[in-house]
Amino acid sequence: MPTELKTTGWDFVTTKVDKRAIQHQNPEDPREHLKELEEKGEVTVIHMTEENRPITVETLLGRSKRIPTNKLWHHKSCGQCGNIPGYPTSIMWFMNRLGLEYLDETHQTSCTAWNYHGSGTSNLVALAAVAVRNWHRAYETGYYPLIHCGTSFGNYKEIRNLLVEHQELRDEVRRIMNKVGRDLVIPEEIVHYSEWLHVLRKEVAAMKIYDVSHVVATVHPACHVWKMIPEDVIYDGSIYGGERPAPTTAILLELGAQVRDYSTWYDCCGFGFRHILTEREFSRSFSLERKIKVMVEEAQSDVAITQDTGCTTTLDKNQWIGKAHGYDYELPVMADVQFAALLAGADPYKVAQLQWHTAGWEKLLDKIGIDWRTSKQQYESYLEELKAGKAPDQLYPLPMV
Amino acid sequence: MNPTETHLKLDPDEVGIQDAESLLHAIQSDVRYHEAIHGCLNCGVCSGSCPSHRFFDYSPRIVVQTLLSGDAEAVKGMMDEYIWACAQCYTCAMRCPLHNSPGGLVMIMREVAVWRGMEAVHRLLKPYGRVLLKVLSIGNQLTPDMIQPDFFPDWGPKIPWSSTDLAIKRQAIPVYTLQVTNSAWRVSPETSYELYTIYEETGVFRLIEQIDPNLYEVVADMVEELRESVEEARAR
Amino acid sequence: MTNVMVVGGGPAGLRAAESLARFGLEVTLVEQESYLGGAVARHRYQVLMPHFDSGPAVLDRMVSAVAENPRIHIRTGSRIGQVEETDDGFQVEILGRETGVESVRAVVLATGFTHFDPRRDTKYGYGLFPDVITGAELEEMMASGPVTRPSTGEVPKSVAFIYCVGSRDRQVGNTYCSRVCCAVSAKQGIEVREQLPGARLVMFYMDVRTYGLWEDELYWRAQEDAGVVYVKGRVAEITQRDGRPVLKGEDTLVRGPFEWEFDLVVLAAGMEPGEATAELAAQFGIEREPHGFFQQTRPMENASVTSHPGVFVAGAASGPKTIEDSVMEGEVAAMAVLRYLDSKVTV
Repeated sequence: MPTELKTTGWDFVTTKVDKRAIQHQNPEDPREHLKELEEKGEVTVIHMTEENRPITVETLLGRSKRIPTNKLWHHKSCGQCGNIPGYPTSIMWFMNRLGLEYLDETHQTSCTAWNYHGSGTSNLVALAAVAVRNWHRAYETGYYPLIHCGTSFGNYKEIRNLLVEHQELRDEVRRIMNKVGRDLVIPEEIVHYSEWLHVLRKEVAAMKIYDVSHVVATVHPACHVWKMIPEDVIYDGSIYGGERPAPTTAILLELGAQVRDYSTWYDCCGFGFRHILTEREFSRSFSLERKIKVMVEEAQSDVAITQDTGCTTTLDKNQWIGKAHGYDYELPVMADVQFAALLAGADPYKVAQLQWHTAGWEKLLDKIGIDWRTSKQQYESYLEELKAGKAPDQLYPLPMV
Repeated sequence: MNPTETHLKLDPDEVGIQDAESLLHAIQSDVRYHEAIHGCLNCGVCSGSCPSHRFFDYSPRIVVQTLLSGDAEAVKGMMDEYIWACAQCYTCAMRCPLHNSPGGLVMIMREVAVWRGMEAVHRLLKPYGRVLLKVLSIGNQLTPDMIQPDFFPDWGPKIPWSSTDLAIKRQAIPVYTLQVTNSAWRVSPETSYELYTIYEETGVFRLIEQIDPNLYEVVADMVEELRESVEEARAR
Repeated sequence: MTNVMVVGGGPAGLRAAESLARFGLEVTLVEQESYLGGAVARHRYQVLMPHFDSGPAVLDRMVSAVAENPRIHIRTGSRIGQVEETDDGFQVEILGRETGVESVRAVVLATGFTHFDPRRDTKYGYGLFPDVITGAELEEMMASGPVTRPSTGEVPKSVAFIYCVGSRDRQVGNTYCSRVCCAVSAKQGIEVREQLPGARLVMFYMDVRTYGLWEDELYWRAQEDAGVVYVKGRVAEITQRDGRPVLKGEDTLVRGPFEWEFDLVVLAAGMEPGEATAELAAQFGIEREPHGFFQQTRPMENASVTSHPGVFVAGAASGPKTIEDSVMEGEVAAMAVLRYLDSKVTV
């Protein structure tokens, strides 16, 4: 009777269960088939090189996955850039702080999967062609694609698997790629920024200048990050006993925050792709009733930490309207990388860009001891200076274009 | 019996063909269909996990059961409204003991509904117009200038701040992130040019022309203009 | 004198050894644990499905019948090493306290099963939440004292049983039904009711497979006499709220989506091939069926016949089985060994 594995309270987050030892009868690994296709000369695979300084981790079924840490091609998220500018800024701020090389450039489109899931006006071939076009662009620059958005990540994993399984899809995508002067390429691993943050969590946490041992965080795991192709997600025996994905929770623990569980941990945020636009009542009710309320009332959470675009927006933006129905919550919502940046001394306005978040975060920063009032004053006068024609400041030199 | 031949995508010139049998055939012959449905134990794990099942008259189990029944009329009956409640979270797919993907089936059904021009399309595209315009013209779906108080009155009093002086506020980000206001990032004309070829080759432009001619007209102008300028630049 | 080896000292192996010895053969009984009795002993089953027999009494009778028979040489704490086939049987190496090689004419593999480890089905939070236990753990709990919540030691006011854990599920790699869990859970519900007269007891099922005579004796009795509630719906996930497990799922017949707190949750974890099954199959040159159990090659003729002459199988080593069926197969295997030896002599 494995009672020694069980603990009470919330300590279970770090309970160690050796799940790898008991996994068997694994389903097929698409990466093995990709290797075979490459050997047959059917596809070109984008490989990591030494320059990418990959770190090997384990996924759900005990498989290995290599996560590149350097020389990365930022495949950005339209929802993050459009709505949560502190999200990509924090990622790039860390890369500069860590002295890592990257490329952020204009020759990319979004994955277009939000529109696909929400409206049905795309199709499999178009989605696959958009994915391969972006991969090919990364390939020709020599930088390894790092995907910022969870939906892009889930969608690209699915597209990778479908391309590997179906020759007719490969043929059709190759035909279209040839029309735009490109070819069919597939990365050896599809990698999400939260995985990059996960493997560098010790380095990131070493930059911390604030203590957050008194701060209670709740994690919202993004559906498209881990429920789509779940066997391709990082699990760690020391995080939730290896029974839930490790990224985001692990960096919070590394940063010294208290991570608390809550009973609707598995639930989605309510974004729903089309719902946020066309069924707003669902998005509002779901995020408030099944997430925000539970995070606050059950876990007494000080902050909700996310790992994807739509969830950050949905959980943050739907709190205000809830007040009309007695949901009087003000739970700050931000991505893991924004939270980490704040603790590493990033300016809450200029870098973490919290001014775009609607749920009040000021109390949280007071609790951590971050002087946001001075930052706010500086930011407001900086905006005035820019309006008056001052050239914008840059913290770091322009990366390669 | 399910069809044995499969297709990768639907033909935009078949918009309007909406008889139930042909819709069912289009669903069942999608290349992804047989990987998304195997059988069904009626166990309730998918619906028990489903966020929409708690809020709508929607159950992924019923979607699977209806498809397995082969009742084309019943399947068609789901395509206008029922399946649009799905939040596409894929919890059902992660948990189904038979490895079905009800969320994946819904996506195939949505695609068929749209590419055959069913009633749902008109309801659907109205609030989606702005996203569609962006995605078709620059391959981005959400841009800074889309967050407007008129569209998001329920997002609270901070939204007006997020919709004013955008250019200055984006310039104020002290890390280069290619920030602009009418796109999520600056997209090179060459990239849009390639994207248009993809949309053309995969029937997406033709579909939009069929189901939303007004939107298509706007998009077509932008496409033409960009193509000309790229081709001019190339000629130089 | 003819020597036969029985591998596995659970109900099937005990019965095979006992019968073979009574027929006059010398029997070597190899058991990897330090004790005999298999799963019944390991989990200290007090009350056995389906007839509510006393587990210790049944075990005592079976073990003493073997222990007291001078023709049976018991080798506990031992495993099978090298196996070599000879003209008239096998040379089998036994690894353990007394390592050595035995010459045997025939072998009965009665190596039983292991319980599915629910940590492999991550949605139940087993190993994370202290009040989520397995059916075997409930048996151990009932053997050592009253039923309590592991988290607090309190008496539970509500107990949920979840069926088909690790069975009938591609996600965990087991697509078969474990056959006994429905009936065992019903038995446990009836038993728990004796201890907890006021508690709410709920079974979450996909199908209730209480075959034949068990229908009224277990399924109906659980409802009618023990007030156990049956809810049709496989539980989708377990989380925890204020220290209590929360079960989320769909009642596919009556209530629709539910979210239900319980003090104690019992997972009816299914049966899997014993750990040594693959290795033993290779050592003795016999086939396994697609789920990994030893293949019964002529089940219409004799349940114990495998793909290799002289190697027989009994009990749950060839698939999920009840204790009484395992005992019966031990007997069947003994008969099959006799017939086999008889046919070899006459040839």
